[in-house]
Amino acid sequence: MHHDVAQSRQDIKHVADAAKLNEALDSLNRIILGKAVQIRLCVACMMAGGHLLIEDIPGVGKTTLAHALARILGLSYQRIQFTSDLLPADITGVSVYDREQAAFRFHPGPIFSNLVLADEVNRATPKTQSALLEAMEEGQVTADGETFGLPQPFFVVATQNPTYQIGTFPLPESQLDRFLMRIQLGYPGPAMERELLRGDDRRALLARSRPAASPELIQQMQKKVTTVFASEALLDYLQSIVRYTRQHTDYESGLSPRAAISLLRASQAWALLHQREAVLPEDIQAVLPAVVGHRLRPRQEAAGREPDQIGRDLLEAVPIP
Amino acid sequence: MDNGSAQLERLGWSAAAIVVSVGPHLPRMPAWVSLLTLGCVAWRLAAAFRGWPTAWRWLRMILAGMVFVGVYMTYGTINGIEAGSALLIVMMDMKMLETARRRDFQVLMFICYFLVMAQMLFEPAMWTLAYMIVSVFVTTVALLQVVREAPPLPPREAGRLVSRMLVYATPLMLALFLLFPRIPGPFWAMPARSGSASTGLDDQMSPGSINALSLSDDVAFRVTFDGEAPPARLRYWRGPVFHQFDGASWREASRMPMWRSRVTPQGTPIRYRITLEPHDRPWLLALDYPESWSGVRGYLTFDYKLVARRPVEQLSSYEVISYPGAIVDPDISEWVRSWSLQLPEGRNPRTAALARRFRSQYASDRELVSAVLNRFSKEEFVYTLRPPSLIGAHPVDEFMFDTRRGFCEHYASSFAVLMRAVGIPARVVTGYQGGQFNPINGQLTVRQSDAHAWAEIWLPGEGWVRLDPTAAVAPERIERGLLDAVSTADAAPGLVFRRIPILQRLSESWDAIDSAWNEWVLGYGPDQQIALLRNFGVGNPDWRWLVAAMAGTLAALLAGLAAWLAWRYRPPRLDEVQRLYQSFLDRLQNSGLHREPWEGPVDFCHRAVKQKPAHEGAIRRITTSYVLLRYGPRRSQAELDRMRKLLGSFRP
Repeated sequence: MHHDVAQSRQDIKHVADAAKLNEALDSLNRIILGKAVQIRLCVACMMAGGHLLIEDIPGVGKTTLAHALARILGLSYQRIQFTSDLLPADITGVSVYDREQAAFRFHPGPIFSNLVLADEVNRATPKTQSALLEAMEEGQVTADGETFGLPQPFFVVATQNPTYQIGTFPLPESQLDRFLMRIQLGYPGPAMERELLRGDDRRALLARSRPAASPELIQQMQKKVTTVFASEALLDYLQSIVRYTRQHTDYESGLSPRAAISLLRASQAWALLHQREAVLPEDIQAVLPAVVGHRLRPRQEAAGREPDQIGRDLLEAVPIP
Repeated sequence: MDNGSAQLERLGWSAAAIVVSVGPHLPRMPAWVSLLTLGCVAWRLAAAFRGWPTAWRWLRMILAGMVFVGVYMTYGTINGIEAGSALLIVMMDMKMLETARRRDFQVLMFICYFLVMAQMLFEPAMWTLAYMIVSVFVTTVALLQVVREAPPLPPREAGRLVSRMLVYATPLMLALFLLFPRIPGPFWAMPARSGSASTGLDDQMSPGSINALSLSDDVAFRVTFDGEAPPARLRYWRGPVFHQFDGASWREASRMPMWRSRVTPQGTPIRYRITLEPHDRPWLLALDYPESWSGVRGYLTFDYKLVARRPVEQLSSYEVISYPGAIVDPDISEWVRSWSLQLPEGRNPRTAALARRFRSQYASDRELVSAVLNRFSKEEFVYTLRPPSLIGAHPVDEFMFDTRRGFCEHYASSFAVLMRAVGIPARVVTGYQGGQFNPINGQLTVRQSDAHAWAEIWLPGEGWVRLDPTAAVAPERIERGLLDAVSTADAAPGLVFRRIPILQRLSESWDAIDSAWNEWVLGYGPDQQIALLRNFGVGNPDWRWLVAAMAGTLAALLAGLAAWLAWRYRPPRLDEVQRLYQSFLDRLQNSGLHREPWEGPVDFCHRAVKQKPAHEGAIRRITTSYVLLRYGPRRSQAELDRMRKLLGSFRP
């Protein structure tokens, strides 16, 4: 179906760029097995200029995913392992006195990369967490009264252990809102797991693969995302979703205007990934569970509910106008 | 399904509703009912806070039995509105103890509604209505909170929702009030209350009894005159008439003759409507002499007293035509004559001696009467609200010769005694005199403080003649009312306030409002209902007509409300594109393929193609057109035409 829509467009360059991204998606799918939807969401999140939160138990390939993203998209990569004794300066960098020049010199921290993996972000103290989140929000770091811009594109992938594990400082809701999406990886299917067991080491595979995109291409696509057309009818649908969360008493609080914008950007990125020039209700539906899952808290926490269930329930409650 | 805090909140709301609905009943209840209510609410809240288990089942059973017996022992019955409300309250307390599930809360709230209504049976006043509206609001909020599946709403939100519900309910309530068939008769009457203390005239009179009444500022009745109102000196409102005198007190004739009187119209009639406050006695007040009356079932006794068939326990309204110039009883029977001359042996000897002296001086009855009245006005008699008490065996003597300070009953009584002693038949009449016009609604308001006593004597050929010795002593009492006749220090506080103009104005406004409330709310009976419907051109509605009208009005109101809500929450108007797509969906629906409301067009297209592979091409093309037209950046007429054409030949 979407091929038909694509046919109605004339922008060949656009198609070519998107084709490059599809190539990147294919490479990623070869490294991370059986997670096509999550990988597409990661790329969409990046193109929408948002940051990503991956929440899952250890060992399902969170770190590998982040590393693969950086590698295939041709981005510089740094990994920060968050621990309870990590200090803000360990992330942003420190000013060190230079004896020769008789002045302080700023040594940039690991945050100065295109893609930063903040591993187990909820193990650090709130103070350190907020240093990261401030940098995410402002795209810059201020040290000793001097402002240092972060490289563009700048993309944080934070991983988080489920909050019931011991030794964690759960991120407050206001900071969760800074992440455009939250995804879960989950266990691989049996066939995929078998392939994982038989196949090569993922790290070696990663080392062998070549970048399929560049920071420039990503930035270009980020600009293009905001121009993807959203019709009145689509905005009606988006607003009725948002209104539903505000009026309905199932939720502690409704979606914020920032969440509404995030939902629109993510949908636009998703549409662009499918080489469409307009957003469809299906685009909203595809990204919504990842965009609202960490922002909405149902009043009655049902035990054993799947993490995406909140989003799916919401979608089934709101008719498409 | 519940967490503790939601349950606590439900309990809190229920407790609030209980306090609001039971509160006004408690002053009427025995102390143990109040204590029980407080105890049960407090225990239930504490139990919820501390997580105590609910009281044991057998303990609750025993307690319920005990309170039942308690109510029975307090009132001697479990019937009647007082015992009934007490029983309702204590049973609600018992229910509170075991409240856990949603249904229990619901039952509790329904009892609260009942108690809110019961308040009107005790205090049918305007402020009760205001309080009832507040109580219904609180109870409805509580009901809303306790029956919700989801956790309770924030108070403001719940309040807004309930306000809206009550506003929607108001027209229905008004329709029910105005159109519910009002059938006259005891079936609709309020059950009698035991031991209520209404103020009003008594069935006997002794020195000081009217004096006590004159301290009350309560309204006795209100009068609307049809035509010109009679002047103050003619406004004698007749109440109980006394024939029997024991030396100190006056009573009604002990053997009441069974015959009824009739008044022959003579002179100019006065037409008026009286709205009488309940006073728990059968007599109805009327101007001398009532010829005919309507709106009440009553009769005229042999002494021209208008009496209802049952005690006046609710506000009653009736119309009377009186003839002040009528001559009544030009001849009287020996019976009446002997009652009207009866005096106890050996009492009040000095008065008897005075009477003998008068008799020897004047031969004509008329001259004798004016001589007696002269004596009252010329000699040192004082009209006062605080007469010295007469405690001796000869109270009339004491008053006539020693104290000479008295209120109307002293004058009326001693005058009648004097008349009887000289051989003129005489009796004492009590009632009200005067009244005050309210400039706002033109009504005459007669208060308890207007209570009065005067005398009637019988003269051959003239019949019964009214003579008011108070008029001889204090003419201003008759012309301008009690307030001008007595000193400020003597009068009731309510009376004194009326000397201040602004307070007078306020009091008049309040009186007008109160009167309208009486007439249109409390007194809204069959007559008012018919009068109201007549304004709308309905001739003579019977109860069948009323039931039909009520059902019709309710149905119309509900339909109107439904229509308004449907309009308010109407679906947005479909434009051409949506209409075409809807027809596409309708056709697929008819062939057994249903699109869920949340299903996007592309997803639905995939599903439809899978189920109807024969129409794959058409379904894809129509969906593409729809998506381009509805979500695409450009909306071309050509695409719309294409979609219309595709749809024209689409037959799944």
